[in-house]
Amino acid sequence: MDNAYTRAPGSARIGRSRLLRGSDHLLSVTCPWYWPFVENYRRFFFRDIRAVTVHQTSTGTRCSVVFAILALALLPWPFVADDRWARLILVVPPALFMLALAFNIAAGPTCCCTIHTAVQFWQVGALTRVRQARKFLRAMGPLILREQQNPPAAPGPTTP
Amino acid sequence: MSAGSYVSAQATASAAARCGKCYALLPGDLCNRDEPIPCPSCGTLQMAWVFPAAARPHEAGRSGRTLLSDDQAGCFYHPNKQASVPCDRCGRFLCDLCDVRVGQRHYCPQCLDQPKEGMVNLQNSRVLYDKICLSLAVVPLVLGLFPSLLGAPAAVVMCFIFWRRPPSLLGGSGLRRLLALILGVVQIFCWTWFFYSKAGA
Repeated sequence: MDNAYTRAPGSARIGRSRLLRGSDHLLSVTCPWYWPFVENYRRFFFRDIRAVTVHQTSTGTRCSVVFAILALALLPWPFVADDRWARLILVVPPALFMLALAFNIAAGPTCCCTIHTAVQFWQVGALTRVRQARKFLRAMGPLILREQQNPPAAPGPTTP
Repeated sequence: MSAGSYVSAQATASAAARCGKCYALLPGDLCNRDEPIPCPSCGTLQMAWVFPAAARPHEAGRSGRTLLSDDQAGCFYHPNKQASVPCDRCGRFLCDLCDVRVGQRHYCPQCLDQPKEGMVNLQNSRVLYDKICLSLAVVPLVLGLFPSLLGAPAAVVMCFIFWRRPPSLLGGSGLRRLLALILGVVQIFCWTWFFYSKAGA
C-alpha cells in the first residue's frame, strides 16, 4: 500500500516538520510557517540514502540561557507584590520559563540531521535532538542497510 | 547494538560522507562511529553514518534500443526506439530513455510531470482544504462574533466545493470538514435568527 505511513522512530510527533516511514522510503513532511494549510512532501528511498550525518548545534544551549535569564528576571516580581492575587499571577511567567528550561535540558542537546543522497543534502527538521537522531538511526539504519544489500527484485523489462 | 555497528564494512573508506554543515568530505575511516568526529574543514563535531549506496557508482544513462523489426513495439514518444516497459499509469509503451522509475513503478515523463490524485507517491505537496474550512468556521468566533458573518458562509461553501479533495497524506478522516460544515451551518442559523428577531422588533 502506497500511503501506509507510520511515524519514523525518534521523529517529532507534532510541529511543522515531520518524518514518516513508508514501506520502502522515508517521507519528510514540512509546512511553511506562514501558511500552515499546505504540506510539502519529500521522499527518500532507502536504496538511495548514502549517508546520514548529525552535528550538534548550539540552539538548545542558547534557548536554555534565554529561559534562565527570563526566569531569573521575573522571579523577584511575585515577592515585591503586595496583593495576594497579584503574587499568584506574577508567579506564573517565571514558573513557565523554568518549566521550559527543565524540558529543554531534559530533551538533551540539539542537533542538525542531514540525509545525503546522490543528488541532495536534506536537513531533517523533525530530528532536532541528538537523542532523537540516535534513536532514528538505531531503528532505520538496519532497514536502510537491508534494502541496499538485498534490493527487492524490480519488475524487469517486459516485452509489450 | 551501538548506533554505528549496523553499518557494514562494505561502506569503505572511499564511500565517505560529507560534513552536514560545510559539505566538505569527511575522512571515510572516521565515519560509522558512535563518537563525534571533527570536520577537517570547519571543525564541527559530528557523527556520520555511511551506507553502501555511497560506494555505488552513478548509474549510467540509458538511451534505448533502436527498433529493428516491425513486429516489435515502439516507444510512444520515440517511435524508432524499442519499447521495454509500459507506463504504470497511462499504459503507454516506453523505451529505456523515457522509462522513469519511482520506487518499483515505471512512469512516463508526462505522468510524472502531472501526478494525479491516485499517484500518491508522486505528489510533492497538498493543500489541506479541511484545515482551511475548519479555520474559517472557528477563527472568526475567536476573533469576535462579527467576522463569522463572512467566515461561516465561506466555510460552508468551501466544504461543499472541496468536499472530495483528499486530506493530508499523513491520514485524517472527513471529521474536520464535517465539523466545519456543522459549525458553519449553526453560525448561519444563529445570524439569521438574530437578524430576523431584530427586524421583528
